[in-house]
Amino acid sequence: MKTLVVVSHPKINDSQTQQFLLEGAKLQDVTWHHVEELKNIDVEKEQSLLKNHDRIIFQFPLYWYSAPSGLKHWEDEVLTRNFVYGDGDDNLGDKEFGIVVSTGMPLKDFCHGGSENVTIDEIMAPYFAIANRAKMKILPTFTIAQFQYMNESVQMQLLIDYQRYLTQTYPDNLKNRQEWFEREFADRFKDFNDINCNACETILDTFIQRKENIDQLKSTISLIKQGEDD
Amino acid sequence: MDDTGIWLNQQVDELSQKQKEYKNRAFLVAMKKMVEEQSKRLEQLQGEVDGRLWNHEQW
Repeated sequence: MKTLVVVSHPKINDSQTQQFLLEGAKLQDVTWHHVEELKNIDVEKEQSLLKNHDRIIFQFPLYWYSAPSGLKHWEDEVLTRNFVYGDGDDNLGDKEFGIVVSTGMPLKDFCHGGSENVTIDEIMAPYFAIANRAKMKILPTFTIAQFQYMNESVQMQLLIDYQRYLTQTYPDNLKNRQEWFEREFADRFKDFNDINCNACETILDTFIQRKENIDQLKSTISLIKQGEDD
Repeated sequence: MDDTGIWLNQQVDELSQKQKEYKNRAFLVAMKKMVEEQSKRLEQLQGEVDGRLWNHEQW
């Protein structure tokens, strides 16, 4: 699965959050695409970039309850009516669509009755509408609130959650999470060879064994339930 | 947490402390949480199996 991260930030080099995410996005099959860096928008090139990826992510900081103007400009140029739905081709149909949004406000403020009095999902409604029109599958929004206040361990968790958001199979359930960690551990295992890691193989085997135990227990429960129905 | 879970967490923790690269450390910190989630789920599922197998009509 290939993921395209369409990033919009007018001063990306000054943004700690975006630089942190940029490091996280350095993964196989992930393309980082910063729209403000494009001198001219080559519509055909941009459209083919979209077509060549399976998961499309819009990533931006929240500016007055919306994305920076760079993303709107890119959308207006690239997402032509014919490309999105007009020519009957469903160029984006069946692709996944997600949003990574950052805000300096606490997440708890984004609810009815909170200081913002609006939810993140409501603010993202125009993007969901586009994705819906394009027959894309919408992923839950990944919100990063107050990155500057996060301590190291929270940032570490955020980095991996973000990587999972970009590359893990959806829905985000236990099965898919375990498979992601299994695959990634095996991949990153190679990098562990420079240190003494006798335990790596045992760790992975034990992890897989526990995953299988969970599956086994689930199927036992399913059998018992069937018996109860009879 | 079950014994295997505790052991696995220790192993992941030790491996994490040996890592010089931030990304590897972050990955292993997150993996520890994953192992804890596995333990919780295993305990819940085992509890459900025990609960469903306990049939008062067969007393």
